[in-house]
Amino acid sequence: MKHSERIQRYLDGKLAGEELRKFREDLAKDPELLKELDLYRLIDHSIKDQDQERFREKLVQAMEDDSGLPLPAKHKRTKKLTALRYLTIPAAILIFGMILHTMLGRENSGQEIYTSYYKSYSDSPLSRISTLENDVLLLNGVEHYLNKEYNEALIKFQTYRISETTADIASFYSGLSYAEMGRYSEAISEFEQVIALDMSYFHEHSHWYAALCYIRIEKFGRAAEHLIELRHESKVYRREARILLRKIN
Amino acid sequence: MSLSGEEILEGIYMENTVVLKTIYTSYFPDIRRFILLNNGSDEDARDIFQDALVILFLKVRKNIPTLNCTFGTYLFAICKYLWLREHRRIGRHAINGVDLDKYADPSVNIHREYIQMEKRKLVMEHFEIMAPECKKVLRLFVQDLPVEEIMKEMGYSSLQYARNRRLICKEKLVRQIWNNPRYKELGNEAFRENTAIPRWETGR
Repeated sequence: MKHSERIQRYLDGKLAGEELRKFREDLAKDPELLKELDLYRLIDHSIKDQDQERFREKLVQAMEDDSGLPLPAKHKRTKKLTALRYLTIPAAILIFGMILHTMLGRENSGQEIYTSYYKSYSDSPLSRISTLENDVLLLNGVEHYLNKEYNEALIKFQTYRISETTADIASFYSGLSYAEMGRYSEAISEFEQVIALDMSYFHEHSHWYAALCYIRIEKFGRAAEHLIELRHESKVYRREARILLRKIN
Repeated sequence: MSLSGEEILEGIYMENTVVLKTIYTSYFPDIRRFILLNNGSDEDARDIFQDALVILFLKVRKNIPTLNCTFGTYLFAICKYLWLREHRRIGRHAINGVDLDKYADPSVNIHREYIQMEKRKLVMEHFEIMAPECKKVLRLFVQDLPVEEIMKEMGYSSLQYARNRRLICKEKLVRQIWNNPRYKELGNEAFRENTAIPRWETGR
């Protein structure tokens, strides 16, 4: 039986007899199994009991309501229904228009978001990496990128002999060059390499541009993983990451 | 409206929006000022304030605590604790040249609730980005509905298929959360119990 299946059967109360005894024995011996069980429980509890989310919503409502008194939820719904009763024709037109817009725009939603949020990265790494002047190929590659000569930039980066200290620069600017040329999958691959280096200056920028590229090719799940990371870890992109997560959800 | 500490905690426990509004109008400006003066933004201030109240919500659901300070002082101490943690998490060790340890308040005893809240946020963030089918099937199963009903609701062909779909979706969610560095960070923290437990003074 699969590991996860055993845990789920245990939580469902379906393990019995020897199976149950063995599972409990394994729990006592294996701290990782215990942690995994805890996570399964946490997930079930979180989905079932929306208490924190409900409380947070009420709090946000209290903070955003500027009437001085909070409106009961029923009152708000009644107000909306009353308004619709007197605005049926314009509302119908608006709703039809929105449906039409959504139908026409659905295939391009990733493109629209990408176009709204993508800004060319124009910062030069010269000010940060003092050894860069000795790496002529890398320097030339960055210059080509800044001059929007993306093919030439890529050639320079690809022939550059990568050293550990500056591999992230070449990968990051390669990623940007690919993105500018509309080669999003290749761009993502470059950004992922920078992200894997972990301590790179370009770490959060790579997460951001990788997320945008995923959005552009409509892989919203993968984009969200990067945006969640930024939401937690990045001061620069936290706000935009939060907004984009809402858009793509 | 003037509320005692106990009334405020009671209001938090009951999720009373009038009390929440009062807390916001009475205490948020000072907290906002502190955050802005210490490298934060308006959005940071709102986030910290909300998190602090969620932590209090978790605390009062176990039991209404008694403290030796006013509610405002305690709330402020919680917000400072959260802001301090946020700075440490992103690798900062000082604010405006002042070492973070100087901001620490040993009377704040909320570590357990903090971990609980952060783990929940992480789980729900990953849950919300799942495919709609996965979200729906997981929601239905946690409600303890009969599997036959879930099978019909989801349009599945058999009970076993319904169980398998739930398992696959759950596995995927577990894997994503498990591999999230933030989850590892939260999981590795031991629960630390502070010795000083503040006691309430009643009234304001």
